[in-house]
Amino acid sequence: MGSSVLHNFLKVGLNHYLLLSGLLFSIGVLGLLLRRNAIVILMCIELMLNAVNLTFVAFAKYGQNIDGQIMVFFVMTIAAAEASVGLAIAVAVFKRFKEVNISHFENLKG
Amino acid sequence: MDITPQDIVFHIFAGVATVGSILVVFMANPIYCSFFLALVMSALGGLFFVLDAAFVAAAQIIVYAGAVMVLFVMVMMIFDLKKDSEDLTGFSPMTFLKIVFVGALCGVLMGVGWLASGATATPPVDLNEQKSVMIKNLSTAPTSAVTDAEDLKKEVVEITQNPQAGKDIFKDYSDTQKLSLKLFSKFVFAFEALSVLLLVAIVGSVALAKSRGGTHHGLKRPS
Repeated sequence: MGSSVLHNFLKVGLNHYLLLSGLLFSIGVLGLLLRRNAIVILMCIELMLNAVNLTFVAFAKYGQNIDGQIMVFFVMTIAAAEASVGLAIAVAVFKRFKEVNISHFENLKG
Repeated sequence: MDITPQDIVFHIFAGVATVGSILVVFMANPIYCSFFLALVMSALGGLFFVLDAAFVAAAQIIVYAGAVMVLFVMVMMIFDLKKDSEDLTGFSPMTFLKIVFVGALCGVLMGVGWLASGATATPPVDLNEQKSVMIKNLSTAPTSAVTDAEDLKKEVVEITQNPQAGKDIFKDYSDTQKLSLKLFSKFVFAFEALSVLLLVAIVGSVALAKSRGGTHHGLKRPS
């Protein structure tokens, strides 16, 4: 019985990918809430988007529908655009305050 | 069913991704954070290979582990990060609340992910099962989803009239050709919209980076 449970755990299926993806997404949310460095926050957002990508590809394989992989391309493009704009904002904040701590963001007006 | 090499590869990459993402969150130095994020992204690229998505895996490694992480590291190089104070939030009731919230979220996501597909391993459905599911969907499809129903009908007709062709559709599943055909036919509008979005992002980031000293034009810089 015990070895059967272990076997079920080692034999990878769709649920393993969903489990991993949920775990990575939660770790990303944790970093988003706990960190105060704007760059690390952007990295955590990238981590969350990657977790979603894993779900898309896993469903594309186990549902035999390739549309999920196309969605991954769209997510990747949007993530790249978001990273470039977010880093530009971080550079602007750093030029002004010599720090990228998000507590400075509340002073950005207009 | 036996444990295949793919399963072992999955467990290795899953462990690397989990440990790496935890280190991304808890490393004090942002440079180390970015290196571990690159590691996580490479591990996820490996998982995409295991999932028969070779082209997505290549794009993941080139775009994320290559381009995006280089962008992050380059931006960090122009910062003086020694001065960054109070990076992690100190321990307070709010921090405790945040951790509880994330724990609950993690439990819900992982529980749903584990239970939704059954606690046992589910292999991909085979062709005959897929065909019957498609025919069932076709008969119950709402009339509003005309294009989906027509796509389904076309595929079902193709499979039923020419079994060899139907087998080929799913045999060449991992083929990049199939991906590109769909990207440039069914999703062509989204593709073009994304190119406009990229143009907007380029213009926006250049405009943001050009402005001198943030957005406070009237104020003096604190020394």
